[in-house]
Amino acid sequence: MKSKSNDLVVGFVILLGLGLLVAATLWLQRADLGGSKREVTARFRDAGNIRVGGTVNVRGVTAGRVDRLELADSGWVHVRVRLEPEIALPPQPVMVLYQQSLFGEWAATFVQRDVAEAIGDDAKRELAEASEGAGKLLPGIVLPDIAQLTAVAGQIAGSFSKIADRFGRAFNDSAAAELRGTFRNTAALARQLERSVRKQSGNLDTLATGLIEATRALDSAAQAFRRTAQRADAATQSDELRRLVVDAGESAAAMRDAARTVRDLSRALAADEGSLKSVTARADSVLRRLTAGEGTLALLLRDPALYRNSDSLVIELRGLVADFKANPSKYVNLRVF
Amino acid sequence: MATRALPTPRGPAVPLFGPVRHLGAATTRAISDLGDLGRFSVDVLRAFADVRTWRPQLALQMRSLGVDSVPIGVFIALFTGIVLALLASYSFTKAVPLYFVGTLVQKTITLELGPVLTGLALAGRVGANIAAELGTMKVTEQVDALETLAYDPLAYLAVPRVIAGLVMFPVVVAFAMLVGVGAGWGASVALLGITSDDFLKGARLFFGDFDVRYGLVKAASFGVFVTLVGCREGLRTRGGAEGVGRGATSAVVQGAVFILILDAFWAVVWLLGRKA
Repeated sequence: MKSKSNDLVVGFVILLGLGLLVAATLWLQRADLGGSKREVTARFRDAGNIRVGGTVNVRGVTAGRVDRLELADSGWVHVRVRLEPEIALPPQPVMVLYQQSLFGEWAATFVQRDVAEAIGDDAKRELAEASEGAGKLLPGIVLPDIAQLTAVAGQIAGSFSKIADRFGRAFNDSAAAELRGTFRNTAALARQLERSVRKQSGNLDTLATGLIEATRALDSAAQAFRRTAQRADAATQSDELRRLVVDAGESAAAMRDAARTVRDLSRALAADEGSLKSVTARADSVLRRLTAGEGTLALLLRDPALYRNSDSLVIELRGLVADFKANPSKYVNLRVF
Repeated sequence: MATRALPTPRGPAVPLFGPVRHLGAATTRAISDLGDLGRFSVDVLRAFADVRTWRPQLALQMRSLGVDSVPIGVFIALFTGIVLALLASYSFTKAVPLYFVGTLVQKTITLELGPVLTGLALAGRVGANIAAELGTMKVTEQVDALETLAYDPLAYLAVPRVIAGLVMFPVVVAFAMLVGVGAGWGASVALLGITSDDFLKGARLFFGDFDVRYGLVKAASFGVFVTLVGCREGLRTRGGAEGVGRGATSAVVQGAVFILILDAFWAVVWLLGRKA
């Protein structure tokens, strides 16, 4: 009985201890037990210092973890990450590995391709290479880590050190003597400048006097203006100015009416001018034809015989009319039956 | 069976060479002790075959050495976790982001302090217990009685204890790891003003299941050696109550020494050259 009790207690403790430990391990690792997470794999020439379990950020939010790193053919490294299923990647996604802090944490993130290409020519070249024949794999790039940046900074510091060293060598005794001479010349120049300043200070006094007078004139002008303003103010107070403004407004309205009338008149004149032009043109045509001897009137004007015949015709017609008046029955004979 | 160390030969009394002679004698004794332990281990391994003898004792020993040791392991881990979080915070202030407290607590507890501190505590409790119990049996001739009854003393006394140490040390250490990290987490939130999210961020930062496996394997090795040393010291006890006391002390000291040596061994063999 005691042995069975011991077995039970021991078994319970083992299960509890190791079970809790396994559960805690899976929880800390954010293990995907149900396989519900989405896998995305990218390829790199170099995976930097990223580790399995590293954080994956999308737009600054933790969205998954690095699941696997493997060396692939042709010198590629495949980095597989597991993302929460609802996470949407940007269009044309590129996986970027970067150092998250100064303390060795590396993380992965996804950015749009043009954003990644804007990092620099190296990034653009890496992306082009990683995209070529990648199939379903995403292209990936690695940002330089702090150590590399520090190394570059170190190189720059080394260059500065060399420059300083060369400067130190170049700055020998003769350079120092030249520098002393330069200082001496500068001191002489400063003395000359001092003399010039003293000389110019007299001119400046004269100028200042003129300025004072000009200021006085300006002051009197200002006083005159102030008086004018006071008068205008007084006018405003006695309502004269308002009346002036009203009168001016009425005058302007009358002028507007007059202008409108003149405009209408101009339009009428323009129309009459058209008719006049037409009449003139016709008269000109008639005169031209008369001059050319065309038409009846021109023949009348040019042929005297015709005129005479016409004249005698008129005379005869007059006689005929007189005769008709005197003897109508001679010409009109009405019979009813 | 255990054997007695050979008596150190006494040479001519030359004061100048005394320390050198003592050094040589100590080295020889240490090496012979090691060999003795090796031989004892092989004997215990052979006794594994006698399942009928050790099987009924196993649950009792697992409960006695393992289950009953859980409170002390948890107690040590509780305070270790709290102190570790406070020390980390003190060291990191203004230099390192405080979420690294989580990293340090998790890594230190799972890789080192959980197994080693628990192992040292159990070396005291379990190692002394085994040595005293078996030593008393030895000096009261109960071991001889077992032999008379055709029981293999190693199969009956040593094997269930060694198996119990192998199995139950990792279980106790598992509890210690959970409680240690949990205590560090609680202390960080309650005393240091670090948010739970920050602590977990740090704890997850460089966490891998390797950390846990490494700690458990170390704990299992500690369990084997602490129980082996305890059994050997108990079974080679001589001279009554005084001998029992000496044996218990020796078991605790040797157990602690082996724990530290194994700790370094695993670090060199398994950690060196491995990337986290």
